[in-house]
Amino acid sequence: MNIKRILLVLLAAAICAGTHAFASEIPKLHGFVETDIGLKVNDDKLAAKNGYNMAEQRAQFKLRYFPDELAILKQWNTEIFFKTDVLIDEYTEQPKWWGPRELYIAFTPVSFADVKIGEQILTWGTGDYIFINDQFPKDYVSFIIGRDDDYLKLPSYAGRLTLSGKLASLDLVAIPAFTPNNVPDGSRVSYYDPLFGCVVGTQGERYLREPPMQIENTEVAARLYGTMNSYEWALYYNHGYYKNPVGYKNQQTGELYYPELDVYGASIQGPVPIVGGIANFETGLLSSKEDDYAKNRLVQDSTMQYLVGYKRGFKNDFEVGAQYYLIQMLHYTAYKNSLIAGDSQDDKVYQQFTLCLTKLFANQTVNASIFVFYSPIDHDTYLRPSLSWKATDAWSLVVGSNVFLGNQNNSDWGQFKGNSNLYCRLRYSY
Amino acid sequence: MLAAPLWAEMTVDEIVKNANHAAYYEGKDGKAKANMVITDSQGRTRERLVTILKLNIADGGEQKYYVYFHKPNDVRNMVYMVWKYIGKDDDRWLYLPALDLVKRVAAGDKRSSFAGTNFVYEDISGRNPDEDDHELVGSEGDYYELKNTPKNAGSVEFAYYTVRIDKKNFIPVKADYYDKSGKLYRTIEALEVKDIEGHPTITKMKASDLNAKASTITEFSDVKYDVGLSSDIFTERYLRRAPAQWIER
Repeated sequence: MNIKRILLVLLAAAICAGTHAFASEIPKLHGFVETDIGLKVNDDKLAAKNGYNMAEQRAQFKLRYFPDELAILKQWNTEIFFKTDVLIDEYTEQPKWWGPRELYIAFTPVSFADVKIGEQILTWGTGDYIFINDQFPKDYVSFIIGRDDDYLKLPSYAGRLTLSGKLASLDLVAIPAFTPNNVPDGSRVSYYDPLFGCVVGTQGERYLREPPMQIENTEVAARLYGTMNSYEWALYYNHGYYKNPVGYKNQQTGELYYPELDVYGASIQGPVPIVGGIANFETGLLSSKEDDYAKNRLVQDSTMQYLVGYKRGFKNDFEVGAQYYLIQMLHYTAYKNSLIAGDSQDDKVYQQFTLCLTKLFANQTVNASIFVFYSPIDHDTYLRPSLSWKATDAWSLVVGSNVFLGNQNNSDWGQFKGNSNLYCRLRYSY
Repeated sequence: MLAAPLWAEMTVDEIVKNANHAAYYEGKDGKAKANMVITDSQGRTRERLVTILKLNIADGGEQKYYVYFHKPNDVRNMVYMVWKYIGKDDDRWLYLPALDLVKRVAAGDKRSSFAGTNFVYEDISGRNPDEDDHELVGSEGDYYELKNTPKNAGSVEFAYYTVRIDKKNFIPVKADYYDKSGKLYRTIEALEVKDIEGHPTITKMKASDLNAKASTITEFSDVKYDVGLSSDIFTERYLRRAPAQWIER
């Protein structure tokens, strides 16, 4: 990819320039090496490999470099950060050089402004694994097979400007190069394909068309936020594309694309008086611009989305969190009228509950947790139990499971039934 | 009577107030590196290295803490931030750099372990004196001895604890915690006290869990007072981007 190459050259140039001037401060290398295995427990034998969906060795390298030699860069508190993974993926049977996962330069040119340019992870919003206003790219394949939570987020090629004020702060993000979500495509994780009307694996035929990298296709995201008396409020705006392929370019040939999307949202988060704990509320209008008020049956309809959450800690390192998530389709009558024979009809309202229990043992070296998604609409469930043990400061061991339950093949979680797994990860951090 | 030293006239509440100030509220703000070594019953050790920034909003009252993790490596660059209040739950945040995630953390039990050490949250940021009844049980020699009994016994794991306070600087040098059966099960000791910029400061302390036969020794280095921290350091901006002026990189 061209951008990666450009960024790498820039980094190399900066480090060379820096070390050339003063070879005094060599950045320290950190990261980890790990091995992961995920065994399928209810294999539908549709994906490329039977029996497992994760078998990989990974090495991560992180370098943080402060080019302090140039007075202006030092004054701007400039930092260059580089993080890369080298992956030997036995599932795809090829060693894979992932290239940078993060590669950015960050600086503070004036006291109230921070700038971060390059490949970076972007996150905001109040949900736990549920995202309304965070429209930044995610890797749901990693999530489903049980890679570390860090891999749920994909990096964006972006510029970010943060303006900080006393009462409120403003984040402005521009993303010139589109990155879609990594969603199941059948090769590793089987999924429900409405064209086939069933769960498909490698035989699924989908062609995903990304918006080309053009200046007018630049995605923009903004967040205005602040804290008042322990309560954090935020207003959000996103202008760009759905990160999932929710529009058909050509239904017959299975050609999908990422339709235009505008999101307007808000959130608030803070302590609950008397009973204690933290509550959060987040809402967003996802305006599907190409859907023409639901008259276009080939594009995802606009929705209103709401999320309410609550979490609190108890004695002996025990924590409970719960969320309720509601998606309401707008223009439902028009949507129904637009359907033709053979189309499956979505419900007007989708609801989902989540529950998270976490307990630490043995001086916080053992973490037992379970995260549950349940939809009373589709009657499907996704269970994510895990048990992790920090054997030493460097070594950790995680065993966990991804269990999908549900009778409907076309439901959010039920469609992944045949991908349920039991996984294990051994990691050494340095 | 004129020859009697000042402390002789001190009430219990004054001693408690002075000790609380000496242990947690010296200076307008402060900065220190804390190296914590946890040793378990089999002699195995774990290490935590953090930089702590602290701002006193009101003496004996509200404070802000910023804790930046240097070690262990799996939580390197993580930041933990607390806005401490008296009489209501603290506000807590965690910054996870790999996800660029600022996470609001539910204020849990203040008697739970801080970062897996034998210190609990209240050892780090102080226990509200109003939560205990205080009784002066001794004042011979150089130390006051206080017995502290929780007003709400159900809220804590101890039945009472005693504190030995140095008369000359009000530094609490030893605390002994007793369980409901009256057995001593936990101690905190100041192993080294130094005068730093005119402020008496504990530079080495030890927490021992006598039941688990485990202990943690914390050594503070690079301690500085009145470095000029302002409230805006303790905000989301600096969670995402550590303040270079204060955090060694």
